[in-house]
Amino acid sequence: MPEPSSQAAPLSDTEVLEEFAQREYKEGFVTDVETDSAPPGLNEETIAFISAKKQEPEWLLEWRLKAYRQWLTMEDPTAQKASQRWAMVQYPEIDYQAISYFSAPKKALNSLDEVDPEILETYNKLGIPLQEQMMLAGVAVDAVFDSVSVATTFKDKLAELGIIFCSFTEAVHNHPDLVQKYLGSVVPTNDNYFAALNCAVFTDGSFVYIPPGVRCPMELSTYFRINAANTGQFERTLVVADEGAYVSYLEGCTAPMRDENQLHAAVVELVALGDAQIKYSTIQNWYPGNAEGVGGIYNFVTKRGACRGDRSKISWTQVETGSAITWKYPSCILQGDDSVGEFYSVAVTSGKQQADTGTKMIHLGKNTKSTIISKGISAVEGQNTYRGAVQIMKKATDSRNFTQCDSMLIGDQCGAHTFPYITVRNASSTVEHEASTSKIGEDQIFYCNQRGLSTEDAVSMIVNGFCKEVLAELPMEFAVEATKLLGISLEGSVG
Amino acid sequence: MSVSETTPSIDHYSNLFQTFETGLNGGSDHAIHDVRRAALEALRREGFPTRRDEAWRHTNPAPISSGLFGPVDAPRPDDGTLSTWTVAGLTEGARLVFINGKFDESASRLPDTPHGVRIRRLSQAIANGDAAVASFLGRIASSEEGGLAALNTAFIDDGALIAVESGIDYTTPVEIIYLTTPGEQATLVTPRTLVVAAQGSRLQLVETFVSLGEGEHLTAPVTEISLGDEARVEHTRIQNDTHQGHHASLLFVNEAQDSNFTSHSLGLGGGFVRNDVTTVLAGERIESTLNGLFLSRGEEHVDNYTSIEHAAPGCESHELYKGVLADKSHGVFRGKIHVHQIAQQTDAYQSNQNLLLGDDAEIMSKPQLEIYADDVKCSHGSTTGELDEQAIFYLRARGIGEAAARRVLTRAFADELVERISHDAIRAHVEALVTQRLDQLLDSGE
Repeated sequence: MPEPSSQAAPLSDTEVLEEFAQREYKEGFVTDVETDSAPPGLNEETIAFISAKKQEPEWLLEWRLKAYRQWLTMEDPTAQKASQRWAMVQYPEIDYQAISYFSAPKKALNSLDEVDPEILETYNKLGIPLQEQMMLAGVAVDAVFDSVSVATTFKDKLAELGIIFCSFTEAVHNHPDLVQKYLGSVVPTNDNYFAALNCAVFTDGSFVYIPPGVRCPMELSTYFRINAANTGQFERTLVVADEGAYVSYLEGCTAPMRDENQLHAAVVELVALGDAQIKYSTIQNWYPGNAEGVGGIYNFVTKRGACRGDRSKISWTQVETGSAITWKYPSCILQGDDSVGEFYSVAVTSGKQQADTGTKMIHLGKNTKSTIISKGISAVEGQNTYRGAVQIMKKATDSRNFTQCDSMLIGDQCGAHTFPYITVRNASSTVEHEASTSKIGEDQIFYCNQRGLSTEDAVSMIVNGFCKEVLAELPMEFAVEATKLLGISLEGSVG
Repeated sequence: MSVSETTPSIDHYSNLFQTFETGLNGGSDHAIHDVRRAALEALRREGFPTRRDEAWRHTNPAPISSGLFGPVDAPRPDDGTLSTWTVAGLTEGARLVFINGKFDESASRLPDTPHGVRIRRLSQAIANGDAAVASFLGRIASSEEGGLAALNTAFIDDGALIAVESGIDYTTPVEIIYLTTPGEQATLVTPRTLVVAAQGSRLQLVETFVSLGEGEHLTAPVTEISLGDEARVEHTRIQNDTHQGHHASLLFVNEAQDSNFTSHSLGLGGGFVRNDVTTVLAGERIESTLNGLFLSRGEEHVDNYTSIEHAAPGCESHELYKGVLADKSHGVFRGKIHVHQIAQQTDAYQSNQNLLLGDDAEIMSKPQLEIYADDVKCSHGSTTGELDEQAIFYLRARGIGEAAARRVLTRAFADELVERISHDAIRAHVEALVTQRLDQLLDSGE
């Protein structure tokens, strides 16, 4: 007996595509919380205002100002001439003076009970009730609402092990030595245009330090949300795993519906010392804009990890389904001998979304290994670009890289692009790159239909199979969320 | 681009152009002179590429963009040198030899050709008002393509025209040899080849670019090839420059429906080498193949840039580029496949494989897929490494010494491309050149 759904007249490809294109953003709602914002505009006074507001030490203000002065000398990527532009993304020039660089929930909060019920409600709508997570999932949540952390859980339990997991502001006050030692050590202030901007105006973020030999007993997780209209989000994350430590960090994002483009320029720095391991997983589902592509988030993020010590390992896993533009390259600098870098990515672009994402694996130490698995899915008018650099430096003898990039196209108006940059500077290393592009064939759908699967289930099954290698890298609870997200993102899109 | 960076050389070429114009003796009234003038304008407007341009990120164009190169007359090299570069097995067909851009009659051979086949000096074709010149010269390689195309076009003087009319199957290979022998001052040579294969015609040709002796030079050739419907062209390009030499070539191909084009590019090295191949698949059901082998040693820098544009449905393209790099040489491979939205049912494959013979050798590989159509089969791969230790072990276990085993395996690596040349005499010629150069590469590594 066929399923009831396949008895109904099957939707034609066009109908299904249209339905998909018209899908409303399911996480779109706005919470009304009074914000204490800085007036729009960017100058040294704005930076001093942010720094003062956060009662920062002098050195941090100096550091911000240094970054700001470097930023002023750098070229806005949109201003470059066509032959010099490398990113496959297009967007109107950003007016940095129109952005408000500071917004914080008004009330100071010490415990969960004090959290604004409205904010709690927001989280409930998103399906991440804090209390429930505390009890059930064993996940410590450092929830970021706009730019200031509002609640942190499981701190005591982690503190027993000497693990520091707190908001960036708290870390600046309570662990200034650690922050000063590692801040900007992986992503320098003048690394790129958006990283420099972040260094100058970042408001908050997360800080993690795992002491030597400690294995963090739970997945550390932060939920980011962008809320106040017209507020750029400039998060800063710093994760340090000392000798022999292990940590798995989860980052997930959703954002309310918005009519104006919002710039998000975060910086994430990871440091793994000898024998340490960091696993960093991201699910990104920010507002991608409406069917005309208006109003989505610009996600211009700099993420980089340094495998400083021998035998250290950093693994990035990302599922990118949101944002109008995603522009990010979570990277690994493999400094220690025998260190390992991994990058697993699923990027979905639909509607008018653009994604230019990939990684950089820089091999400096001997016998270093890196693996890159990237799955790009383009639908409707989405443009999906994999851009990845693999550099084997001269002293990185006997190193190895394997890269596989697969693209799937759904619909004839979308695009899939693959741009690897491979540099090898010694003879004993081996680098392999392969990429393929395909579509979901009518024959595949037909095969599934014949066996009683609806077209939607067939697409979902094929896409999930296509992404399996990456999804398998996610921690359990994230994998469930990611599978659901892929299902929603590609609902009814058939090639 | 910073205009001030390039201004001295642009001014230099503008002055050279005036001298060149004066020397044309009435040739400047010809329609082609408008093409030259427009090219100079494009050069003045756009300038030379800079390292900030994506296409030049891995090869700093400064040595060619800032150098002040100029024309130099040269004596004819001895017959021994010439015979290294002529295809020994070709004794009958046309052979055009140019030295520093000037036609060398005594070394050339221009036998009578069947009706419908025109093989001439480009200067004569221009003077006689050959229809192919008016229709195609500067049309396939537009001066808007960048400073190097503009530089060559501005100084179009001599070169070769090969035109085959529709339905003619001309299987005798045509040989064109451009020699550069630099003089005391930095020498500029800008040869131009135009190939027009009309509907259903067939053509086989070899272009050789070689520099000899001491001294700096810039050889900046442009070759334009037009394939009509169902035309078949096999083009073999051999390039070898001195350690002081600069070579920046452009090969532009435009293909009409059902045509078949094969390019074999053999790069034997040079101080600064950049070889560009650009093909536009403008009609349906085209098959296009780009083969490349580049060998480098010493401190040479060799850059291969290819672009395949699928602008119509149902075409196939195959690309295989292999590099063998010894000593401190640097290699670059950048290949782009662009599939337009209209180009459904495209089947494209691109592969780059590199063998590093020395720990100081370096390769930058950038295969690229840019795909705007969904019903396509496109893939690419890139591998870099050393010889397979197991394969070496296999040979050694059978009593073959390590050095000999490495030689055999390196030869086998390169042979995959040599074997693809369909014409026996050309293949034998290329094979001899490759064997000789590989031996040098392997010896210097030991």
